[in-house]
Amino acid sequence: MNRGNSQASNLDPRAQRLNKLLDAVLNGRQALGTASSPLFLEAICAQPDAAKWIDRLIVSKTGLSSVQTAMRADLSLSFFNGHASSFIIYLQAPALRIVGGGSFLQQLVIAMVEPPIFWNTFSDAFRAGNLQEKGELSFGWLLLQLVVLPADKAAPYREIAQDQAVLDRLLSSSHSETSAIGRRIKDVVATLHASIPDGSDTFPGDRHDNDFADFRLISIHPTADEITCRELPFLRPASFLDDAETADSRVATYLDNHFRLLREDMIHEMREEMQIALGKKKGKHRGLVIDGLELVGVHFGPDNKRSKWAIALQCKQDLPVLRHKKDRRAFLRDEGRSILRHQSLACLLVNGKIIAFPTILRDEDQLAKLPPVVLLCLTGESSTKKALMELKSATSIKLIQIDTAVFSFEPILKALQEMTSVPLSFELLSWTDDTILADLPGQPTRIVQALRIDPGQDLRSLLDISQPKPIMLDASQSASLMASLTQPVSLIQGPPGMFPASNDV
Amino acid sequence: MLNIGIPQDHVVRLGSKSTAKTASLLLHNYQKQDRLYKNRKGDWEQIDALKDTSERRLKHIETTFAKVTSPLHYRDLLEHLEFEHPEYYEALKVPRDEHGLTRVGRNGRAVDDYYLWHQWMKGWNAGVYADSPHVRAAAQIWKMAPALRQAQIATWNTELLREKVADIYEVGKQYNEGLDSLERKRNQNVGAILRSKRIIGCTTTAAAKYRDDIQAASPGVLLVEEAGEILESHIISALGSETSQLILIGDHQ
Repeated sequence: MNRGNSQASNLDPRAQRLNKLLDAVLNGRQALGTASSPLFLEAICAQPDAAKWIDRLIVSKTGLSSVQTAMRADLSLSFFNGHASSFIIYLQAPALRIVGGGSFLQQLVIAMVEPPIFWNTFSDAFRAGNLQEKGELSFGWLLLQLVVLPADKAAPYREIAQDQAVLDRLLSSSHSETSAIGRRIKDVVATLHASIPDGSDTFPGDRHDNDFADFRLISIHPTADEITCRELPFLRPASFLDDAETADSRVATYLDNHFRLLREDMIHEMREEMQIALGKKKGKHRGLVIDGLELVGVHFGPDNKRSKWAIALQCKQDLPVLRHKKDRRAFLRDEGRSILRHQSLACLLVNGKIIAFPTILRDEDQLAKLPPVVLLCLTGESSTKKALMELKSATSIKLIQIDTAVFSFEPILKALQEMTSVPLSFELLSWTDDTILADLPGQPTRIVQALRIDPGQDLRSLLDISQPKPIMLDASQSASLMASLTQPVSLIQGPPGMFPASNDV
Repeated sequence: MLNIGIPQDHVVRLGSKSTAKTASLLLHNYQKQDRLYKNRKGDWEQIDALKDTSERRLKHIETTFAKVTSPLHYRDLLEHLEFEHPEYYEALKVPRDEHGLTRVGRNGRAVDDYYLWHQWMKGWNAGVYADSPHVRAAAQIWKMAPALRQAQIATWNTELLREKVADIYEVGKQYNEGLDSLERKRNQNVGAILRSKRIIGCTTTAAAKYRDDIQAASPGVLLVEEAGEILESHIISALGSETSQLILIGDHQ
């Protein structure tokens, strides 16, 4: 709701005073004290346009620090149950999720809990059962925002969320919003801590420098250690995921296992390519091999279009494919656009040893130089550090381009690492033959009822579809349609040719 | 879908492949037309701050990298000793004269702060400071054979190199993350366009790439065609936190 400036004329005296205070604090004219802090929070809660207010806060030099001050001016229970909770509930406004891409709200939440003067006392009050309904809801909501932060920031809050006492108190709240938040936090916690089969003789963690028990620590690009390692990677048998003993950790184990399986597909391809490229296996290696490279610097792209940081390696002589080309840049842009494709993978060898697997940063200006300069982005902690150490005293630097389509694996692997919950995990992972699926909320009931009564009717009018031919489904088709409309998860399977593949949407 | 009467502007396709009919549904087409998310002051503030931070980190990486690729200066080495190997630092420190007098070396020139370092590094004794208490106290360091001293210096060089490399890695990571944040802030219109549509069409790879933007649109239903050809992990990674329905369609071949 945006009443803009006209609201000033409708305000009562208290509201006007609160606005004056808010302005003064955000403009840096007034510092908050013990008495003015709760008034500041009250003023914020009275702002009708949450998005506009948070924008002002982010821009103001004293915005975030004022909120910090206000939250810790008073650490009493009455403050927690009163002004603090009202403020936190105000922050639940849907508009705040969207504005700034959610980054404004994230910045504000982090400012409120770091340093943890307010947060520690607030959490203690929650644990001791001293918060009332509003306070418990606020605590729950704040904790939820914190556990879905990027992993390194979220770690301490995930610890708290894994305390069963905390979860139980949220889940058993009589306030439905609070218990719903509890369930969402539980979903997040469920993705942590995968388990390993009992009596397994293989464990993740010791094979090489990219082997970790926590799959989120694994660098998506392989390291030299990893590619040259002869040990089989850690993978679980599929039956382990069906094992009733592991029901508690199933979601976490599921994500972990899928990451490892998919990644192993990618690594296997790379190993094959490497064997061929190094002449250890028969096959045709596609992709450039460049020897005699020299490290000439770091590269960031031009002023107005910065790129990820990369090391620059100069070739000893011109690339054969570029020789005799009159306009090298134009060639690289057109016919030669598949040469050293952007983000393709390469193997870096220093003094004959495999050191790292960087990706190529394609810069036509650099490649068009004579001799050409190849830019490489080093990824992963151990690979980057190893490469920089070795490159310093390198006598020979060689690059082997690898054809594996890393860019088709990478987004999925990254997504698996970043997922903080697995939706529909109950239906997908815990389903047994006895499971009764809950009815899907938000079904199109009018259509579902009509279909139940007369499944063979012409669907054009029911579904408001305009097309010349009538649409009448046979028994299995209408059963499929019903399933897809009423079940959370449905699988519709038919013989080949049932659904003609088409690019027409 | 278009053929059965779904309005064109309810649909957006992610990715670059299209037919003549569906070209107008591509995301970058909508991007050209609609500016649904207008950057606020706070957004510009964050963008400027991100740019400034990026440039500072960039310069830091450049400087540190230059130090890595050039020979080590003994000034940096002594600073390293001060923090990491104080016993050596104490042994090689040139003391300030209490009375403000300047010592003079064998060649008649004033000694500088690195006099003892040079003496030690060359394998010599402590020269004009041979009788100083702090040199006597560090007798075992001053007795080290030249080869041993060189080996020690090589170790320190490696330690320093490792520190600088770690620094480049850390700041490089932050720099890269800063660029990602900037990219996200510049592309907030994508999320807004997706939010305004009823149907988003894409491959599973595109769904993973555009994950954050799709999540912002909170789709409730995920419909997968040719599900038999798609890996399970691809489908799982396409589930958004608000997805309450999954429909898989495919054949069993």
